[in-house]
Amino acid sequence: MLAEIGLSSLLLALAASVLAVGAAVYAARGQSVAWLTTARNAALASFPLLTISTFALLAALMTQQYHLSYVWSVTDLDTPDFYRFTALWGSQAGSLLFWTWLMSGFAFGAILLNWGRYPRLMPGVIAYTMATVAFFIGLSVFLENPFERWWLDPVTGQITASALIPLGAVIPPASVMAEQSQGLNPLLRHFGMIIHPPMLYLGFVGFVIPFAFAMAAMTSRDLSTGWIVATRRWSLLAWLFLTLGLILGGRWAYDVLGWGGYWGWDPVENAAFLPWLTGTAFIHSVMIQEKRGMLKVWNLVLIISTFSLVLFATFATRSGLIDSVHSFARSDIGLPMFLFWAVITGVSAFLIAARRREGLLRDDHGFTSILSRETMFVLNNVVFVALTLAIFWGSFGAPILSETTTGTEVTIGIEYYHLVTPPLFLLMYLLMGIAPLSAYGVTSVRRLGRGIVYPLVFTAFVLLLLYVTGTQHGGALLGYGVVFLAGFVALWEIWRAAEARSRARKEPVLAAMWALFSRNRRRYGGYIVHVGVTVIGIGVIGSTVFQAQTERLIRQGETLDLQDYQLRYDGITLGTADDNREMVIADVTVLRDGQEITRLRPRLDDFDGMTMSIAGTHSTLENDVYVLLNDYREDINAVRLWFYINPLVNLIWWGGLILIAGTLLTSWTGEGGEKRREPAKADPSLPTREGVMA
Amino acid sequence: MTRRLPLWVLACAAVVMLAGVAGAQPDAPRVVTFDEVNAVAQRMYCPECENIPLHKCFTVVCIQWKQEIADRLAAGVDQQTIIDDFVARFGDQVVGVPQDPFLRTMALVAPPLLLGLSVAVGLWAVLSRLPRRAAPAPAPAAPTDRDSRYLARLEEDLKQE
Amino acid sequence: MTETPPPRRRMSPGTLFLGVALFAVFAVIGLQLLRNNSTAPTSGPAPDFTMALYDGGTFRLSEQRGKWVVVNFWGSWCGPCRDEAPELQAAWEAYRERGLVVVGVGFRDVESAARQFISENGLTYPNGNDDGLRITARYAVTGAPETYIVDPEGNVRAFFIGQFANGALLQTLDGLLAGQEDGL
Repeated sequence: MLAEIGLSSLLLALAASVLAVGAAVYAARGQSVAWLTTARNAALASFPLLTISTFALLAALMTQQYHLSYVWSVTDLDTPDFYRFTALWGSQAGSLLFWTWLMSGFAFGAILLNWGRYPRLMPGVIAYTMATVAFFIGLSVFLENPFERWWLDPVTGQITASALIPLGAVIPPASVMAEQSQGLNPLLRHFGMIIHPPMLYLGFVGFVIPFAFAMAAMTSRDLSTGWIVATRRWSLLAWLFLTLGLILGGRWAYDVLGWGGYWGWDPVENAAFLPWLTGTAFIHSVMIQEKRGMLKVWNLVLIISTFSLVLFATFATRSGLIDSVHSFARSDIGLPMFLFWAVITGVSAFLIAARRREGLLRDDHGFTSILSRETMFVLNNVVFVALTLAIFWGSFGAPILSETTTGTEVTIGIEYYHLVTPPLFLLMYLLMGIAPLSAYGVTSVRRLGRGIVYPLVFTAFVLLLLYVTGTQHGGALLGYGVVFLAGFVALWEIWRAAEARSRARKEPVLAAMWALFSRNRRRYGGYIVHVGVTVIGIGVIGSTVFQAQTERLIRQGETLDLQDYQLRYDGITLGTADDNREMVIADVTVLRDGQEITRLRPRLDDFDGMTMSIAGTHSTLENDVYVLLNDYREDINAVRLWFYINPLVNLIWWGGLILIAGTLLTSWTGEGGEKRREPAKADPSLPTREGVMA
Repeated sequence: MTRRLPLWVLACAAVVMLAGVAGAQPDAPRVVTFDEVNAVAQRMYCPECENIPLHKCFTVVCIQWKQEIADRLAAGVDQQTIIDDFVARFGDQVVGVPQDPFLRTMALVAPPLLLGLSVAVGLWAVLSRLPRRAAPAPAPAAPTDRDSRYLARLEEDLKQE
Repeated sequence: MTETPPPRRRMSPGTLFLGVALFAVFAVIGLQLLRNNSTAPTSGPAPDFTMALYDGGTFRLSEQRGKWVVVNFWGSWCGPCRDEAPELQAAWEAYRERGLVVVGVGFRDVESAARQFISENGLTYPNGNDDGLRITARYAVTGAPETYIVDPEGNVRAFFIGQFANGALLQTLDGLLAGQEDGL
């Protein structure tokens, strides 16, 4: 029953989205309001229909309908309810449906909220979002159908999976299917897996909105800042989800993959990082267009690259283009996804080139000085693009080129990224420090200098402190210096403004700060985000440069030394969990300079032959003591432990929280927030290009 | 005690490794620690589960490979030679950056080139749009004390946002 | 589209360059996707290869014309390979006189472990290691074991992906060799 409901609403959703595309295109051609209304209604209908479909699958998972081959492949009789729920995105077909559902949700919201405000853009917005949604529903219907059921041919006794009932087939006995069901991939049984994929998907699919608006602007030739104003919050929202998804993914890897790290520079991780980089560049440089009417071509390039990279990441992970621990099993969807990605990217690039030739993308202003905020933003974009290219090259460019040209399979690993990316990240932080101090138009060196003096002094002080307390690694000090400077500039800018205002208006400093924040959430929220990114940067440098590790086999009662820590092996516990995994748990005591600080229980889980090492961790702000159990030798009662000290790693998670708070502040609407503005017109008080030329 | 096969294999491999490591052969008395093996293994990648560094991989192949590394270290072979031999035997896939000179150059030269190109394009984009002479900076009425000067400028910035 | 004005200027070299670059990226990635989907050579001429053998000497597939050849990709780390090794040895012993060669191609195997595997299973047919994974690339091997049967003309006649069922190799060889003798 659930399968029939799910499948039929999926088909209806496909019909609705295709109809929406057709009607929107027709409406744009004939300027027909009636057809546009049809398009809107069809587009709006696709979300509830997909919701029914998604919930039907979810219900089938929760109620253990093993005659659905998807349910059969990701859950079994022992699966706890909690993981039945997460199994919705545990494998290809389900996660594809889930992905499409989220995307149609975004489209639903964007169409509903912006309807009437941007009449010229609406046909394009509907057409582009719905074309994307329709494509993905198509994949679900024709190639990765989550509602396929098992059928028994009574004559041959063969059981096959099919969405439609094969001739003469009957439903196989429920008990048999339940017996043979497979269960969720053990790596996905973790708290982080409940929230990491949905966040990442939300981030991915959210970019469809700014993308569709940009494309609509180009198709309709209405290239005012309308599309940017309309999509600013959507972009921020998508960016926030993507950031959260990446951070939670790091947390998941740290807790579950047993690597002692949070980022492995794996192609799939990198694929998700790429749209984040271009998306971050976009949410910065778009401000320049809003305020100064500049960088028009460039902003289009950035948002289209971002969405194109989202499609690429989805395609690369799901098609078997690259192999990785994160990727889905190979399937037939590779070629259609590749074609869709190539067509979308190609058409977008062509449109930009065409509109540029028509002269519709000319900037309202030229640059007025090398030392201006515009220039800083351009440089910031250069760094983000260079990072994107370098990471793309390492993950896909070099390996694929090597295989297609020389036939040699190569791995581009951590070594490459540790060589190539640090200088770029340093530049990024450096610009993050300087750019907030520069002004639009022209910045004087004096102004820059005055702004940076105090942050520089603070940074020097911190560096001195670090040096004295024993951090004498040159590269790390350089990194810390640049990162701290960026953070201090953000804090100092907040403080300076609040303090000046409080003195001028005789307000308490906190009240002044409050007033400033409510007056310009975007600027000060942005600074909070910068502080969050600074904290993350400090955590990354600390945990990368100063990680210490050792691996040894020790008997009961023996200890293992690393820096000023000792690890004592006290005993072993064997057990079986309720999902049938066999666990070997080591009891270890962590001592520091002989003083006991905590007891940890690293464990080795065995799911029918697939083992998974779950770390025991003791977290403090200073560091994480991270212990993995690699092996248990019963004969001599010894354990092989892998002992890590990960300094400052917690700052990464804390920085993430600050970043979320800042982003929410930035995009908060309401009283005192930013008012809706007319698309930016040339500001007569500032020199325009023509003005300068004249 | 019924424990599954892989754990057994792990245990057996550990025995073998210990035996090899702890100097069973009288002519190779050197003791190789896990840390030494890891130092080599972390520069290599698991052959069957792509993109997992060898030292963090515990499948049978990986255990065999680490055993091989331990044996060769015990025999006094240096790190680079061990890695080169692995590459010769199993291809450039097993290391983080290809050892083959052409592939290595291709992998490592491209990023600086890309960076140079991006910087050049960025600079060109800015410079080509600069006026020939610097435009006079918009001069706001200059209040005297520092705070109000700063506030005035802030106001002006905020107005533009 | 009719309202598009005639081009005001020719396409700038920058635009042209970016367009070509974009196209190149598509082409390379598309090519890779097709390559990835390329399957093992299950019919037609078997790709030739040369391999150094553990017992010295080299093995060259094209030198075996006129003989039936069983090419088995294996690794000592692979459980199913261990299970099917006795049948390969049995095939070698049974059909040697009738012009059959069995050759084992080592896949991702360290030498000491491979040699141990050979002696433990009492394998007497030629075995070597696929240095640099060149042979496995040509045969699009995705994992061990995989087994090919090549006829005297050098064409693939049978292919087993993964472990062959117990007795399946001998049965297939029986059929193939008998068919050939009938034809003669």
